[in-house]
Amino acid sequence: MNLLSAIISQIDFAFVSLVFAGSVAGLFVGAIPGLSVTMATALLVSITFTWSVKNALAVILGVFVSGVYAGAVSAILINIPGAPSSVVTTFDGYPMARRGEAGLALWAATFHSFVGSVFGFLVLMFVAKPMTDFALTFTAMDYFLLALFGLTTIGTLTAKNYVKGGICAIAGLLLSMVGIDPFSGAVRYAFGISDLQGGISLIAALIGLFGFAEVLDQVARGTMEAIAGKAGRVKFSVRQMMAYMPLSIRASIIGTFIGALPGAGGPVASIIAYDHARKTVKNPSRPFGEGAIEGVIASEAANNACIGGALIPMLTLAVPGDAVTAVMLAAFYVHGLQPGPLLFVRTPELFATVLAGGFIACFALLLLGVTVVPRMAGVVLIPKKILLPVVTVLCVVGTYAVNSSMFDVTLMFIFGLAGFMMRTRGYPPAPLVLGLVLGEMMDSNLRRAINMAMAGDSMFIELFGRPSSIILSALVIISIGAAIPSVKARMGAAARRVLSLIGGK
Amino acid sequence: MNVFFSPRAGSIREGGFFLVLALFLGYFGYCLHDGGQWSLSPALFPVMLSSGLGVLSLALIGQGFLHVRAEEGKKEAGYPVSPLRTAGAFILCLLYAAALPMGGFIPVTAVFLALFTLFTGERRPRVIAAVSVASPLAVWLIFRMGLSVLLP
Repeated sequence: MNLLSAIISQIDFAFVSLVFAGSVAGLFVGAIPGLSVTMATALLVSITFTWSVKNALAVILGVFVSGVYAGAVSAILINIPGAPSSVVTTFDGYPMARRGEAGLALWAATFHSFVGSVFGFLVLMFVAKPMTDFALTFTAMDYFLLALFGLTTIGTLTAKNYVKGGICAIAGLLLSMVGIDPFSGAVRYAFGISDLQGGISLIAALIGLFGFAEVLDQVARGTMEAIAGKAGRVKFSVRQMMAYMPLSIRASIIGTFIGALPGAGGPVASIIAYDHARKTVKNPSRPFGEGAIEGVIASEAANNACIGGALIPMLTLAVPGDAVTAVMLAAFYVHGLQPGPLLFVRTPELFATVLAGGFIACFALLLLGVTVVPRMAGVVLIPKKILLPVVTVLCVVGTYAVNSSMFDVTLMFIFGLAGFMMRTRGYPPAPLVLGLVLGEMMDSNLRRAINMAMAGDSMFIELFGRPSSIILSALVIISIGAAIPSVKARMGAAARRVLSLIGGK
Repeated sequence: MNVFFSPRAGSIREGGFFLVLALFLGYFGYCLHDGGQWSLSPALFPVMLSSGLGVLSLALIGQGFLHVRAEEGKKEAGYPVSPLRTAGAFILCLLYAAALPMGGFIPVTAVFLALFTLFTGERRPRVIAAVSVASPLAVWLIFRMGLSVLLP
């Protein structure tokens, strides 16, 4: 009750206005391919460091919540995710748009992003401490297994051929090895190129594989007609969306939990939620991957629920849950504050400020999603022969903006060409991106885990003997095993073919 | 010819490529080992990953030989990929990236947009002129002036 009154006491006209201003900015930043919420938040930290903490947090939270949601807008309309966490939204969102159901996909994304965001902040409000205590019990091996689970899941999810999905995931992990090893200081896979010593730019890879590859694909196929002609009218039926609430809540739970685990973040959450939807929804509106609304709902509810989850370890442990909360952490330090357990003791009103800003941002998301986003669909009415060159320029600008590096721009083009070639041969880019995101975390946690295990009596028990490790290992095995029946069936067909050849038929 | 370019041959070819890549990266990964404890070595994860890539490459080659999943190579019907258009677009973009540091963002982007819209099939001079002039100015105003983002 004290917390509730503290939250209400934070709300005033200026605070609400700033959250809404941030939300509008976040909407455009998230929807425009090539601009990231992390980049916008980083820019805001530099702009708002002279402001009061309360006002700065208001704008940043508005950008954060709306920006994560708006990644779905470009994912649905032009098959280019605005953020890594919206990659999964393209699986069904874009097929829906191509069928003339862009309006329905956008409304589903808006409504369930709202549900996911509110759920995440409610969890932050009520169970921040217990959740953090649980995440604290995770060992280095658990984090490694969690990332491995995310990779095996996306491998099975995105590729028709699991082997190709696995190759992409490993390629992403290998790319993440490029640069200076934080443990030993050794330079890995830079091959004497000084620009590679800092590692592969995630933004360059992301924009290249999803943005520029899409441009090349459309140009190569000569599909220049606008797809939004089939967008259809948007009917804001709350009743229709309420029918999907059980799925939305389940995805939100997954999103919040994954978000609370440092390093995992939105991409993993949306993938796991999507996989959960695929396995639990018996009769989807369409097969998953071909325009199932349930796929959009699971992905969007989970990635927005991640926001509240990601703030839990950031506020209570000073451990960022994802890239944006890492930048937010920096914002706290810029304002002379130290997040962590003492934050609740010394400046309890800040926790209330975050919650107030978060809840207002959720409502701003819903309002903007209903009023502004349907009009943004008009962007795809622009013929592709005009839109594609402009998107290319945005890809260049978005890549250059992060490090002011033309090397990153060249890298983006190379990733784009690679992404285009991967598409034509059935190699999914999403596992590669996830591998690139999770590689460093997996490497450091694996080495840490092995080193700690070597001090014990039995290395195997030390690594896999804990309940959490057993559960996560089982999840990894189940995730890989889920692909086995289809492999078995195809191997059987191949064996029959070989036998028929031997039999002379 | 058809056999060489069949999806089955594609799997074998791609598997071979990834196998060579795995050997290459595995070798350079192993070279990173400083002779100390493997658990602390920067080579540990790269070697593990290269091994994994090697195993999956062999699986892909095996799929090719056993005709498994060969049907996947067939691309969805409708819009065939034109290598010439792809190469043209890519070269144009590379030239744009190369010219940016020399010519400045607005003029080089204006020329690039005019050429790219022509390449993608737009033939109306007014539209080409409008896109190539308005877009760089709008991007410059929003990013450079509005968001203080550095432009190439």
